[in-house]
Amino acid sequence: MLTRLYIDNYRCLVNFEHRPARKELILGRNGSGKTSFLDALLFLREFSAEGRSFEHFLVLSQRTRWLDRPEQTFEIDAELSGGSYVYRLVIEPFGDPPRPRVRSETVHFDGKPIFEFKTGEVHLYNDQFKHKVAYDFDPNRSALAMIAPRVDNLLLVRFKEWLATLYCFRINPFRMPARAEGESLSSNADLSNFAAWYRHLLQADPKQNAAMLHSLRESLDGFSFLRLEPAGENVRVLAAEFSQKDGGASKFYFNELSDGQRCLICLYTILHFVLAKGSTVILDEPDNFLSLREIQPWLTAVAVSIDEGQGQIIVISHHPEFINQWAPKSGVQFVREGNGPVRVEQFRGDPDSCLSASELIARGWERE
Amino acid sequence: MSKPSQVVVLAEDQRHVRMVRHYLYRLGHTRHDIRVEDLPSGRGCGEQWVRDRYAKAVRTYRGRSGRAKTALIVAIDADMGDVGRRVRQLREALEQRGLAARTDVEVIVHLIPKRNVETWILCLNDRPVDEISDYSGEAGVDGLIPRAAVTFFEWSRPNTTPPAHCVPSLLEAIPEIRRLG
Repeated sequence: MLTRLYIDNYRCLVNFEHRPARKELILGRNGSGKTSFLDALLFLREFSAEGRSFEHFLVLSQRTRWLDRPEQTFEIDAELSGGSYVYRLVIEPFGDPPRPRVRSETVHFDGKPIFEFKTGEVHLYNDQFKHKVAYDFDPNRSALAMIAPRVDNLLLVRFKEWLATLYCFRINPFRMPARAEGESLSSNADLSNFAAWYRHLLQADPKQNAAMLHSLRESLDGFSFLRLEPAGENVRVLAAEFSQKDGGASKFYFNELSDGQRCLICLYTILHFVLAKGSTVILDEPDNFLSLREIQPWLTAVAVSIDEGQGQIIVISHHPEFINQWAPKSGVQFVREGNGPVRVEQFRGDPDSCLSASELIARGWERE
Repeated sequence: MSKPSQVVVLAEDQRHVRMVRHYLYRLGHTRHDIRVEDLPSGRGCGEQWVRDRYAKAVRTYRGRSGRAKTALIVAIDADMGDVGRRVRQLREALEQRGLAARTDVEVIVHLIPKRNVETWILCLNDRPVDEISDYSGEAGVDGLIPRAAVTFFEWSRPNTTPPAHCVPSLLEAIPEIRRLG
């Protein structure tokens, strides 16, 4: 579980610290830093776990405009089975024109170092916290991302694998083809590789597929099942089958479904294949494209999954249905005073109970 | 389009909602059958919230019950007063808006735990409780809700006699929940 995030000198996040709960709704006005929060997590996952080099990101230009500090700092704390991890990444500019490089990258487990990458040199420790090896490494990329599993570095690999499955989603149904050329082990943030990702999930965990299809049958009128049809060598096409009132059936390729239907399939996939298995999920405005009728049942299913499992969900939303259901107990607000740095406050609600949470926010009275 | 909701829940707190939901799941309802009205945004002010919205919810129920199977479940703590006081307050809320009192055939269910819903949750998990003590801060209550709802279902079956440790407000709730049929 993600227990703390610290970001300094990244867009409007300055000396920013947040300790998310297992179920959390992030509220905030436009420009309050919610998207930057998600983008920072996406950057950390892709840079530090998936191994993308700095060439794939805008880094130095994302430093806070009103500061004059060269280095950026990112820290992630996680509570995983067996102990507490602290990951710290410091990025600095070098050369002319300036380019980013890793100044330091460290992982601590229960306060003891298990990985250090400083001034171009990596130091590895074994699971007994004994220094084992040192070697030079390219500061243009994360050294953690390149760590291979061995018998004596299970603690470090456990964290790296968790970071790689820190799921950040900003679902965009406009970019979802039905065609899956192979399996995708991981999901893109916008789920543009949904068909290929689902192809992998289906192989890896068919039991969860049954639960997901059951949920979809309750939500999509006439829905029967999803099918990956062969369409050439190692190519499959994702299709949904719906039953008709006359007893017949109709097949639609995934890209032929409505935007809302695709979103709903994605959300129940995330619920059953990701959240139910104990992962951390950050969702940016999942309510987009969903009909009002479908939001509360999905929210309820998510809440049950969180209550009964080990998963964690952080949702960013402006939707009244999300706000009224989750804000009173699980809401936090991102606030900025005079376009300054982002701060996090618990949602307080209306002590006199005259207004719903969404109405309170709509009136701008939520912090009075 | 999924089928319409059949049960509307007006409750003062998330724990009441979870208790009702788990009961309804045991009864065979699905997530789409249940519609929970907005919860109050503040903490510790839920009973006023429910009383304020009760008359509107009853009017909506009556408008729809003639043409479709519908139920309204109202969950509100008795707190330090007695259950009868809350029932009177709900009846007065109808009177003030010119609505007739609840009849015996209407599927409008009043669940009124005394002192609060945590008392019921613990009682239904075989914990010795009274209706005076405040158990709202008790640790681990949320995890006991699913089992409490199943026990409530068992105790409210026809021809079932609840055990001796069942608190009076919970006994009063059994004929109420049987209105669901």
